[in-house]
Amino acid sequence: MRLDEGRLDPGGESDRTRLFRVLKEADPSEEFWSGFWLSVRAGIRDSERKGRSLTAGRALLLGSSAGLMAAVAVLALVFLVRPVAHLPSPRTVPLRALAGAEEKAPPPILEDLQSASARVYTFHVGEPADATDVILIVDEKIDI
Amino acid sequence: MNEWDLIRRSQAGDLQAFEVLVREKRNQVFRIARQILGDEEDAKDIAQLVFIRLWQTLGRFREGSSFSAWLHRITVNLAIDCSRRRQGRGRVEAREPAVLEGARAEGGTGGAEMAKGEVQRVFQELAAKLSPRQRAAFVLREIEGFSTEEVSEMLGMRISTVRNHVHAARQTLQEGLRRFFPEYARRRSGDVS
Repeated sequence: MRLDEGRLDPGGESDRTRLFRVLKEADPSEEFWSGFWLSVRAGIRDSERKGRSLTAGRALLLGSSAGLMAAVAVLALVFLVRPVAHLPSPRTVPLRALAGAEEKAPPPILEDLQSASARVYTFHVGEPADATDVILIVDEKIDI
Repeated sequence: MNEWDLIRRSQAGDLQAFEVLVREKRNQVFRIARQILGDEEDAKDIAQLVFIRLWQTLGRFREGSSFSAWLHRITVNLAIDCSRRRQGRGRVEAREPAVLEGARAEGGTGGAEMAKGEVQRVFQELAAKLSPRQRAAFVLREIEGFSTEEVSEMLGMRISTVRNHVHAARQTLQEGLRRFFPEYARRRSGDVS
């Protein structure tokens, strides 16, 4: 006896569940479907809109992650570089800066860095009375 | 335009082609969902979700695969999920199918329609005792007439598992017919149009 042939006995005469095969012909009327396509289309557009905003959200999240990482990198550089800025080696301080030291010592100018790819940024931080300069050196070749 | 043309155009984003595809497939999707869920409003909602899901996933469908299996797999999965959620909410009873009831009332002349409506009612009552997967296997194999191999593909089951499900469903339904509807137990399918 094969179970997949719709019968429990070889002749199939006693399989009463064959009765239910007529249900294949039980289709609803055309009126039943009125508005169905409009609902499907609305659902498609809604899902596409959600998909787009999800993509935008992901991009924003990735963007903000990248921004956060950049900020962390900048902060790390500031902490790494700042002590050097406050304690400049004599070699990095030009003579003209030392000459005016009695008036107001300007921040050291680190323009004689040896690396050609280095860029120097100076940030003026704090109240005017207590201003200090944070010097940021960015060099792709710095081995942190 | 044949089915594959409609699929290809739909894959390219042609909503008009997709509307034709929906129109051609909606009755079968609805029938399967209704027989699995036993409720035509839920079945209509599921049919709607099926076509939305189909639109979303059609890009992954490849020529040479069975579109019918693809579509009915979505249908069965969504219907079974819905059925399980309903069971979780404690709503398992089958309701009288209003579409067929309407046809029975309005048809007037239709002794045949009455018979189908009655068969539908009997099926919903007895099939409520089946597990969602047994019910899906029986509906696809015995009512929709797909081969065991096709049902296996649609349900993502081994062929032997499909056979077991169909066999168990048939036994449960036969037993139910014998006990609760002996008048149907004596008839054969040819008696009902």
